[in-house]
Amino acid sequence: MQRPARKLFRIFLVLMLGGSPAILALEASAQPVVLAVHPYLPFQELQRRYKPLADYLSKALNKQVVVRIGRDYGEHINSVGKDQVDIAYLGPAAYVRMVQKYGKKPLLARLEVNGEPVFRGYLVTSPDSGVSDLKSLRGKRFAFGDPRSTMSHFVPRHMMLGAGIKVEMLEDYQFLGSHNNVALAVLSGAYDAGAVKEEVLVAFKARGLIAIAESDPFSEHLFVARSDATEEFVSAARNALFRLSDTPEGRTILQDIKRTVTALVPVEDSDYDNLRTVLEILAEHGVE
Amino acid sequence: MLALLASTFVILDQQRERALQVAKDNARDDIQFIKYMLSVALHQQDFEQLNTLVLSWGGQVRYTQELKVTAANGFVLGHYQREEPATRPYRLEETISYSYRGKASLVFVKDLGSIDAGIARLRWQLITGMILVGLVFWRMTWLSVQRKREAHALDRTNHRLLETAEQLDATRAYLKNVFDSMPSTLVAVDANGCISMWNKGAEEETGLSADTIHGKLFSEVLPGFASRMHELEDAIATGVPARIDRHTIHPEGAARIFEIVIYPLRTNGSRGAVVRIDDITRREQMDQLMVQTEKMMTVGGLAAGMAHEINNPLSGVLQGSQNILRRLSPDLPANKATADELGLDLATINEYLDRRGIRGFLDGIREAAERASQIIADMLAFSRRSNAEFSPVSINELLDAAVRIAATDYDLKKTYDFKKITIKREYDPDLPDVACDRTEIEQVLLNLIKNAAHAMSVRKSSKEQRITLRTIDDGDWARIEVEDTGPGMEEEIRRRVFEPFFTTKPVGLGTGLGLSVSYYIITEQHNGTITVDSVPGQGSKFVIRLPYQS
Repeated sequence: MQRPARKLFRIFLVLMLGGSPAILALEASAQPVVLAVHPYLPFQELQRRYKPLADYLSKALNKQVVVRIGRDYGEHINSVGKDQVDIAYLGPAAYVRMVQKYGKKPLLARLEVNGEPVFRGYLVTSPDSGVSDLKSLRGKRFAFGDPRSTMSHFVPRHMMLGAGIKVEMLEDYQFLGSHNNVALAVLSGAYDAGAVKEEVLVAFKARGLIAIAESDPFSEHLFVARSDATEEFVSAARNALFRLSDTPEGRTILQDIKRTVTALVPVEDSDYDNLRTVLEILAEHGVE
Repeated sequence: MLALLASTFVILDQQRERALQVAKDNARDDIQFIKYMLSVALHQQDFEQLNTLVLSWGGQVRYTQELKVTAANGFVLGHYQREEPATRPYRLEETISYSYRGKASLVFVKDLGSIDAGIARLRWQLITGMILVGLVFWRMTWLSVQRKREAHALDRTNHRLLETAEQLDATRAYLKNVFDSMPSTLVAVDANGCISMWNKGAEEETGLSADTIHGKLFSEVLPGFASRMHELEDAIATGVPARIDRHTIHPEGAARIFEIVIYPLRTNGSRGAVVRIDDITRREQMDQLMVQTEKMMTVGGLAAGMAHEINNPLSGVLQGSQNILRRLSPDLPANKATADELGLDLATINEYLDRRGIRGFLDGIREAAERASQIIADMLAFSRRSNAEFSPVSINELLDAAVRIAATDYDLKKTYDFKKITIKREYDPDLPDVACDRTEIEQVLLNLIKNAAHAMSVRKSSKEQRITLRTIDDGDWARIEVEDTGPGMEEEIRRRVFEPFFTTKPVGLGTGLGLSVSYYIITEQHNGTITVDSVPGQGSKFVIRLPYQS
């Protein structure tokens, strides 16, 4: 009962004062800036990782910035597409799908990991699996990560297609969620091979994980703004994100997001054209 | 004792075996639970979760020495290993099916060393306990022997203690008696000025019993002495005794004079004081009388010598003035004969004398000489020997006679209207006769009544003018009081009223000898006392005490 009453009161105020700029400004300043993140880790962990960035942006934009974690990947893409959030963090595949469905958004910055704004995917196996290359995957058990993941599904699926391997030719394939789980499943022998991003391969190399194929480089994760954001806001947000790598404090904020992030760098929509092509090909094969 | 110890150890060993068995059973339950938990994770193909579970179990469940899950291909899916080595490791193994590829092995090692540690602790506690029980038993035995031995000694000690207590009681009673028998008011106070002891003298002085004032403030119980609290506090603080020679209070009516001595006390670390208060009003009066008497004797001796020397020339003046008048009188034949011889008319001479006021001057010379003669007569009274005739006299009658004389006294009539004064008589009808010189005592009483009348005439107020005459049988003494409602006297004046030549009357009205003579008559010739109490603004009271038998 209280919320509608408050809303009505606000509408009444706006009508009475003829929507004066002062009141609109008051309304605008009362609303915090929402920084949306897709749920690729547990809720608390994501809040912990992105809170320092939100606090930094609050100071830089002179507005309160809050972190919003999407309910799932689909809901996250929709909320970004419908401009329900002010700033959004997206994976490459999610970005391409979002643009495809809702159109372009002002781009703010993309991640630079270990000095590179691109990353690669790997097909991996364990020493005693009997798998040595893409072609030998036939009749084997294969582990993917998340069905909407760029490096643990779309890119490896495209690589397999390129080698003439369709999933139907496998003995079995499963989506095991995270890249880490894929690595463990392969190492334990539960699956003969799997698909992981580069940093997971590096992490499990010592425990016996072997790469059998490497993908092309694809543009990294990125930050976008809502379509109706003012130029002033977009420019301020970009500058704030670019400046992060200039100071020790800023670099700490970046490492909170991911340990290997070294900077946030300029990004263009065309950076995702190769991924867009991959996804189109997959779509033609019924993979979406 | 040793048998008890041995049997305890046997029991402990049995307990240890039983505890170990229970711990092993628990460990088997544990591994079954772990197996179930890990199976769920494996079934869901959540290998990350499996590793988390292994580490969580190892970190949180006590006595887990090692927990390890190994895949069929030898890949270790999860492993927890405690850093400290196990003292009694108990190892269990299980297998968990997963995927299509065989089974993962599960190794669980639990450290049962805590059982040994617990048993060792229990053993130590038992040994300690038994030693303590032994000590207590030995102590009790020893005590019972000692107690019997001491019982006899105790009887003797008790006897001595009782004797000591009786002596102590007797001493206390004796001291209390001493305290009470002191005629002074004795008050013991603590450092805060609260009363802790109070003797009989104090009870009589105040009418308050020791029980009712215990713990009350000195200044509350004895408000007349409240102004001396700072001296009391100083004495307690400094430990130096204090003495106040004269402390005057006016309870109601006559002033009372007290001597106060403060003796500070320090006993067992606590401070306080004993205050001794003595009523020295009588002693003070006596002292004053002594001084007075000495003055009188001096004046008496002086007067005796002076009286004759002054009386002779005075007689010449008196007689000369009388003769001048006699020899001017036309009635005397000798005067007429001499006037005729000289051709003078005596009537004309007298006319001249009257007209020029010469006769008045001569009267003045005569009156002045008579007055001087009276002074000399008064002074001579000091030098009289006690050869007066003593006879039994009714003091009540004597007072009435004095009042009659006063009412008809010429001088008094001139100055005061005696009829305006109320004479109130409060006589003791049974007052025995007093052996005295009637004339002299009458003179004293007359003197006092005249003084009272004069004092009241000076006071211009609407207050009733009253002289109260009172007689009281006071044991061996007859007490006579003459009280007026005049202006009273200040202390300075009161102390000097019996001094010769001291007067407050205007020059010419008083010789300053009236009260001195009265004093001399009462004290010297009748062995009595005369004192005066006076409260300024209220009046004065002269008190004469005469012994029935001089």
